[in-house]
Amino acid sequence: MRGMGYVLRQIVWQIMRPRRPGGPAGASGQGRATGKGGPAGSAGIRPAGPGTGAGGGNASGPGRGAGIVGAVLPGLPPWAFGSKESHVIQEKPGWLRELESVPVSPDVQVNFNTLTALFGGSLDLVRRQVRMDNFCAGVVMIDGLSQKEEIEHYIIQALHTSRLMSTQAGVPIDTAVASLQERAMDVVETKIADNMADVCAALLDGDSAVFGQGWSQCLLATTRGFQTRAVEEPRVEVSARGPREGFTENLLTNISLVRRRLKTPQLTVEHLRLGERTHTSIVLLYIRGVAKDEVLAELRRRLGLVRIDGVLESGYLEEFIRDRPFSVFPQALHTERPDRVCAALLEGRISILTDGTPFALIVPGQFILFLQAADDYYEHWTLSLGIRMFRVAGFLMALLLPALYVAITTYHQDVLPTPLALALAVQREAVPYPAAVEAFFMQVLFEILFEASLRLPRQMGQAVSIVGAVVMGEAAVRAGLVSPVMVIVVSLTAVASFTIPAYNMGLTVRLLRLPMILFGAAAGLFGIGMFSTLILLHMLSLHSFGIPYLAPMAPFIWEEQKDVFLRVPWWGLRTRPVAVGAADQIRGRANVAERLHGPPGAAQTPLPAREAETLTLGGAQVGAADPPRLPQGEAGP
Amino acid sequence: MSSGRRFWAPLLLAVLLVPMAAALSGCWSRREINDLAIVSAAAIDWQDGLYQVTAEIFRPSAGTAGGGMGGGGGGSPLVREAVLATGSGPDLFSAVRELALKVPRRLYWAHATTLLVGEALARRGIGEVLDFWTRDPEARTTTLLAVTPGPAEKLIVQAEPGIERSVGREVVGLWRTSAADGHAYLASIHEYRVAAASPVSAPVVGALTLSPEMQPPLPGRGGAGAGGAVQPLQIVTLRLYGAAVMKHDRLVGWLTPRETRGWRWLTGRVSSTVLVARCQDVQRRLRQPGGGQGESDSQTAAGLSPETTLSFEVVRAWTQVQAKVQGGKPRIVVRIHAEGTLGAQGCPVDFTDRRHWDAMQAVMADIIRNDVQQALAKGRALRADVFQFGEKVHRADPRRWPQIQRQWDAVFPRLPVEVHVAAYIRRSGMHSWPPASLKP
Repeated sequence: MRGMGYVLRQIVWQIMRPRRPGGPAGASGQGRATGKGGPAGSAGIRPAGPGTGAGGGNASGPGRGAGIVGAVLPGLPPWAFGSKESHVIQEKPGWLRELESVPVSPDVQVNFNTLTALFGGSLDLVRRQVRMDNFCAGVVMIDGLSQKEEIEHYIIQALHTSRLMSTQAGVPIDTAVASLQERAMDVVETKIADNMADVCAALLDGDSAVFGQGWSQCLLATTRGFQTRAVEEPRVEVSARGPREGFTENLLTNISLVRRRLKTPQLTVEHLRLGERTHTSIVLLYIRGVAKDEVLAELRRRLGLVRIDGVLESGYLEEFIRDRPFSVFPQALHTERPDRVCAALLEGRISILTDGTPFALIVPGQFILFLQAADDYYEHWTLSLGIRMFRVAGFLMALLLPALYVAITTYHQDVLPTPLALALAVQREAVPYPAAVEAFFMQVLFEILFEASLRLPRQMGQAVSIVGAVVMGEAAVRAGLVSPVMVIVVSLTAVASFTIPAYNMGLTVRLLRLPMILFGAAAGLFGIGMFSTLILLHMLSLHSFGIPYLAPMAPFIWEEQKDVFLRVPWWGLRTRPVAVGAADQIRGRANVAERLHGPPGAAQTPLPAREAETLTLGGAQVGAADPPRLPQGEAGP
Repeated sequence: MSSGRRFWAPLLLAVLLVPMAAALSGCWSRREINDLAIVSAAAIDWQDGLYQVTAEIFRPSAGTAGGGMGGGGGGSPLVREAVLATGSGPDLFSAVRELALKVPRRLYWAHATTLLVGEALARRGIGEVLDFWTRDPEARTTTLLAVTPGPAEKLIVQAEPGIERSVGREVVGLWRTSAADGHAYLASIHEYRVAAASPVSAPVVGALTLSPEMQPPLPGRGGAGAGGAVQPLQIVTLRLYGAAVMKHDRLVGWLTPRETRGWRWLTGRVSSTVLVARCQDVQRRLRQPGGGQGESDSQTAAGLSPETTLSFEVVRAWTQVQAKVQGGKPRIVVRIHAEGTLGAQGCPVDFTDRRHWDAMQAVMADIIRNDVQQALAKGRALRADVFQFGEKVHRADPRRWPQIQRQWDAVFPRLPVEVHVAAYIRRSGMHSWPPASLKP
């Protein structure tokens, strides 16, 4: 039998073992090569559009599995980003890949049958045949996802009208795909697909497919339209001053909310899909030339590694892309305010919007970001100083107050003024439990109450909070279970924790509070100091997309103190945060020229013309996601 | 797999270490605040060859929590919310341990604000007391130190704090008010030790006595007189009276209130006091050369009784003490600066007259000078350098100091002290004219 020392050594070795060096492996090297290779290098996320189509490059060869960008970010420690496994590109769901080999049949009925079989005869798959003289067209849509009127008027009726007109002119109708697409489709956006994968994906997005007798292709028309919630005031992130609009569950609405505030073609919307079953649209928002390319590349790489069945909320992604998955500290800010997203984009950050949720992610997320609120930037700058200080004080109080109370009343009674010491002694006179148990009890009670009032419908939540706070608190004191001061301490702590603007940071503080009480109870102020040091060390070790978590404070960046604990006036905020590493440090100077002609030194290539663009979500299996240095077409529709 | 281990290891470590760190320490030296017997004051006496320690311990009761608990609204008036416990032993430590056996809770000394030393012990020497108090990690040197005429136990047992809930708190209050009037002095153990640092100087400590005060009849107290009428109640409260002079940690004498103020003037400890002048003195000053003549003589006749007074409130004062050593002979020069306002007036003095003003200032300086002379005389009589003149001489001539120090007890009583007093009246208060009946 081996001794205890051996076991301990094993444990220590496992923990302290040097991490695998993060040098660019073969796969990543290849990834970099393809990344620079331009749109043709479709081993990565390929640009959408019929030009590249469902080309073989995507489906076959060693390309799959190669990353977009495999390089370690320059200037960053190799351990800044998780593991350096081979960078697998984002894959299509398996069922879509299978369907890619199923061509569109020239027979409308065969296509109908294929789709019916695919959807398992689902009720909401609507098939309609349109007969025009000797030509037969078939329209397919999914009920509820598409606007039926649009299909009625601009597809079916348009087909009839064009037939009528050609009959009147005495010319037989030209039933070729391209011809009908140009002449008979009154829908803004149409596409041509040649395999069932594209058709299926389009249908599921709410588009409609038009098959034609004798075609081996299919016309896809963007007719999506479904019930969504209107743009409302944000529920969680309220602000006294500032826009009242909040994100909705509709991705396109959300993008438009951002674009309406950032009227620049440099605002880039990169689309990709994640989720084997949900095939959820994910969008990266950033301002080209402002966001740091390396961060962007790293974000794409991480998103490319995501393997998940479904993405129902941005929180799913947050857990995938954070630098330290086991840290309790949030490393990506989430917000439901478009103005907040815009402000972050202007700072050089990147936002991730997820279809189906009003919460956008913002990366890189530093600690201080979670203590800043939108109001800070809207109200007069002198007020921000005090408010932010109070917020920091609130953060510390929420973390430390119960622990300090326990530590002081059980170890350091000498630091109390005599009358206070007596008052506390008297109040605790009837309490049978040690202060630590009392604090734990009250804290747990509070957490339960908080959770209960959060889940209940609004009207009932009110009742619960009254019962919980007033009745139970008062009764507990009267019953001698807790001392009145403890109630004050716990409620102060609760109130203080609400000063933290970011809900997830508040959760972190709540999580750390209990062990803090434990340490305070075990070793007094010394214990609190010990645990605080542990937390601080952990925070110092954190990075968010290569940017130190405590960035403007540690490492201390003097120039950036302008927007940490106070905000200098807007005319003083001339540069973007250094730590975020924006490509363009000066605010208020949009380098359109660079965007059009590439950065100085890059080859001046003519802009390739592309029809289907990044913004059009339909049809594209995966959105255009070229490395940003590459010259691109118009970003807007 | 490998990444899994990397993730899990720190987590496991945290999960294991956090409760371990908390549990293994075992709430080491934890003590709940309500399990403490918080000592408020202590009285130490020397009795029958033993140290006797009487501790006043706060008795936590509903009243002390203020209005918060059940709306009780404070304890009954004039009831001390404290209990006493006594222990004795050949040294302080054993006395305190014996005391601890009589208290059901752990004694806690950090909040003890007052240390009373009985006269007998003070005359024997308080060195051991200081040693005990400063060696103990709980007790603080901010504790106020006072000597009582007679046994200190009597004071702590008999005193009936009127406003505060314990003798300890009462003494802290007296310490605060002692600054408003220069006739008494009270200082902490720390200040005592600083003053006693020089081997030749004699520190001054506070002196506490009891004084009877009449109180209105109280329900349940005072006893019913004839016919059921409730009699006014007499209680004994604490008061500061002058100060005590210690030399080599032994009590050598007492300072009267007047001497105490003189000592405070000389050591720069007056921040506020009241100087009372007789009207006659002001008139005399006016008659002197440089003062007003003739005119004022006629006014003197205005039915002025010799007892009428005029008082000044000193609001700002400072003292400069300089030692000069010439030919091996030290001498002291004291400059006192005092500023005051007129506090009360019973004299027909015209404040708008510069000469009257000057006369009053001169009288003010006379009073201060008189205080200083009294204190100096007492200090010399006790052969106790309460004024820290030795330190001044030491600093003035460090090389010759060892010589002087050896004969300091002989030098000090004959040390020439030059006192210069500058007194100024800055304001006459809210009005510049006295009531019509007092008008000159």
